[in-house]
Amino acid sequence: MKLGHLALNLVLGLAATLGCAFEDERTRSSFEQLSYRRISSAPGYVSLGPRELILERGLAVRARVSALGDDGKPLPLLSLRSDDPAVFTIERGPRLGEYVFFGPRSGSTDVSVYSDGERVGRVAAQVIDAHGL
Amino acid sequence: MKTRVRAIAWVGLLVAATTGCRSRVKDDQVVGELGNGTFRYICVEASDPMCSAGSRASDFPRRIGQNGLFNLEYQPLNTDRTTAVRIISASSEIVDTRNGQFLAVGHGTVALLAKKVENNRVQDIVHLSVVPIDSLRFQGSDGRLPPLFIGTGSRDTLSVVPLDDARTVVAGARDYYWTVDAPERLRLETRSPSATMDIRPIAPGAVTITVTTDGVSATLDLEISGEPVLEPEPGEDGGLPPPTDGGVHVDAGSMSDAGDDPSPGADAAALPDGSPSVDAANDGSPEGAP
Repeated sequence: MKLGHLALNLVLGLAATLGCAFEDERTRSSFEQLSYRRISSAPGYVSLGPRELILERGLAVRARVSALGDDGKPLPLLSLRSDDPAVFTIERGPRLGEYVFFGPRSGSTDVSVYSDGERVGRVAAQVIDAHGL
Repeated sequence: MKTRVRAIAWVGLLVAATTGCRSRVKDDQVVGELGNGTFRYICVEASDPMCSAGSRASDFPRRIGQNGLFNLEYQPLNTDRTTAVRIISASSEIVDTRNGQFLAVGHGTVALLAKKVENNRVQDIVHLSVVPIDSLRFQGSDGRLPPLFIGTGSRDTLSVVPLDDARTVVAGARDYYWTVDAPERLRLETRSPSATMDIRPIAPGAVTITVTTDGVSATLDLEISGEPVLEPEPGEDGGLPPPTDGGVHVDAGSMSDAGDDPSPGADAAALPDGSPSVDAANDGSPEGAP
């Protein structure tokens, strides 16, 4: 009888664990795109797109950035990191959630998108020479 | 009626507030593009045309001449004026740092970013253009066009300013090297490199003064009239030793590109030995000399 209880508890525990895991998997939205607000003006070409950022070399722009999941909702605790800061640099802006992007030299790289400390996606970043426009 | 008066009062207050804010920003300052403080332009040397009238810049320049040296300060608008801020360039290919100053090395538009030291966050941004020097312009001591005719025994001061291709004066300190084709008629009494030059006509005749910076030259033709001035012996009455030979003759003409060497040949003007910036032409007795 006691053995039956133990087996039932084990089965229930396993089910609960699996349920939680499935629940977590179900609610975690995957990265879809970046969204920008409060973009500062810059005297040259700047394009902050959902999956690609393009800047003219030497320019800097501030934006409040959100990463949206496939459900259209913002992902928590966003962090952005450039794979090559010598080409495309990301600095933290004056306020929480604001970033400043600038391009020290022409080239291409990727920006990794982190949510809650975990990399959830990448977007392309390109720095172009003003003469190439 | 009451609403109308109220609306007018609000507009008035708004205009007054805006004007008040603007008046607090001095001529050598500009509000940062993120609106969190003001950038101030600093001349690092007297050769910067932005500071020709004094030690403080007359304006916040938006165009810096290539190879020009300059500096910026940032003052946050908030009450915490002790906040330490570091200014960095967005591209060292356009504006680099040298000994704590900015050097305009390339050309193009570049952002200078003010970063708060305590949290490393960018507080503000200002964009500047770096443009090549296209030509140089001589100025007389009053800032106007230089004289074309001068008398022996007089003294005058010339200066030079760099211009871009739109003939606009561009900012930045730089080295200017001066030479004269007939040093027996006119003495250059300031040691190069300098943006200003004290001249002393000592014998009648035509002379050509050439000034060069970063491969760009300008020449000024002067006609000296009057009796030759007796020269004191070197060291007497502050007189300068006679010019030595070995200088390079620079052809007279209008603004011209003189190549990359800012100090052509054995330019006595570039020597830091106290010699005056003289440039002996030929044997020291050019055509037309009395």
